[in-house]
Amino acid sequence: MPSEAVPLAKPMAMRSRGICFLRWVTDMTLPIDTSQPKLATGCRWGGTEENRMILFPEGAIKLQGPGRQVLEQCDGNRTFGEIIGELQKQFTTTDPEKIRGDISQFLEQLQRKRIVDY
Amino acid sequence: MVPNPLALIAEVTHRCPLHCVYCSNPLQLASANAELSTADWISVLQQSGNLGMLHAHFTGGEPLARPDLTELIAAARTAGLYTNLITSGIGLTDQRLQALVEAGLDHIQISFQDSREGAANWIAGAKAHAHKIELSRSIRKHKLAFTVNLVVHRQNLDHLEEMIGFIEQLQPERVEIAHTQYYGWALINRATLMPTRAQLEKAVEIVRAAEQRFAGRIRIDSVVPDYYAKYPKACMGGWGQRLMLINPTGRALPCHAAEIIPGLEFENVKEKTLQWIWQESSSFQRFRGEAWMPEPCRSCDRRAIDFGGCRCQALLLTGDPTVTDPACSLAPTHHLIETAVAEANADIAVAEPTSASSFAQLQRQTSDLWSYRTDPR
Repeated sequence: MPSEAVPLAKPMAMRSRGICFLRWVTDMTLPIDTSQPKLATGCRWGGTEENRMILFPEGAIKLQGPGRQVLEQCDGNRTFGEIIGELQKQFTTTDPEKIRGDISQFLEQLQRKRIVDY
Repeated sequence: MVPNPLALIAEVTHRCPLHCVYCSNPLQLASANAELSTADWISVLQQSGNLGMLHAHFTGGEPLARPDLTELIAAARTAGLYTNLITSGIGLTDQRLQALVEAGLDHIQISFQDSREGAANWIAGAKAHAHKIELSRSIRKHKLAFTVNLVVHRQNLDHLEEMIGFIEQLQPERVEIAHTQYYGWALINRATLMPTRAQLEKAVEIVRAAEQRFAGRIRIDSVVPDYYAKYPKACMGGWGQRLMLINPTGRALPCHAAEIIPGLEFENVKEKTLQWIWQESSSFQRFRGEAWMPEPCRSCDRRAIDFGGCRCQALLLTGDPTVTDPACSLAPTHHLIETAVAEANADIAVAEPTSASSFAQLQRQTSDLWSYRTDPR
């Protein structure tokens, strides 16, 4: 995965009342190869073509590059294995294990925020 | 040019069947006949979409008190907005919910006052708890994101664990655990609502444990009370930076309580466009950016993080909206917060929930304890 892929997502925390705390916690439930990730209930695509984002109850995440590419494939049908396989084919100069690691962490973070289910 | 706002807060009415003692609505509530028309709201929503806003948060009062809510949700979706309904759920039948979902409602947030029915109805000043539980079951039958909002304070924090367990059974995607913020009615009732430091510290641990337990299943957002924080909250993400609130009468405000600030003229959407109000109006520019800031904010490293805190809180506690929020430990007026905190910690007494046959009777019974939010006349 090219270096500009990090960070994959740029959270824009917006709250109608009070403050928003975005925390990454360390213990993980990572996706496995047969997981079929999809956007969680009440999360959907929005924005414009050049400014695609995922809208969720209290905010939005602007997505570009591989992050966007990954989430566009999270349709509840494709498996995690297929999604990373596709990216590994595309980014041949990057260590395949790094790609797997980056994407699984990315999805895990989004699951914690209840934006992705798998 | 200031970047356009990200979200609209549509405070569609001040009418509400609940009388929550911590309501953040202003003490001067707008009456039904002063409310914007359906056509006015639809125009506001269209303009919001055109400005590139992403979300429309429908709130109140109780938004369901507006018979045209379904139409407004549909208009928001047509305008390209993500739609969020912040509600007590009173007035929502399964049939009406179905219509709202069909109109494009993305997310519903239901407030719960407690896990115990007697206590919940006591805080709300209305028999609402049982209906909310029933409604939560109904919500899960629809394709709709569901958040439970729990306002916590001195009177319910001692059984926070039980409340979180109760909420878990309602199966929301999110829980918002919000400590009372002292505006409007909550400020009047501050002495009864403010937690002790011990309650707060225990609550932080309980929330942390629940976050671990719920990871990947239920997301917890928690709002820490600023009276106990070192730095003030970045109110609304900065004055005129991210959010625009339209109140029931059509006045555009940079935050919920802004109308209390004397000397500011707030424009009405019946007379001006949202774009003009955002870019040009003196009210939205008054505390935008850093030029207005006094010391110690002006030279503070955190001035772009918390923007000097909340202007309304500064006014409410010091009488001057232009000073550093007293919640900031660096504020010259921070002793006001310290005094309130010291008073809250002078004893650990909590009240015993009571019930009554009528709201008027409940008001009389609890008059020494707190004032319930009343409904606009």
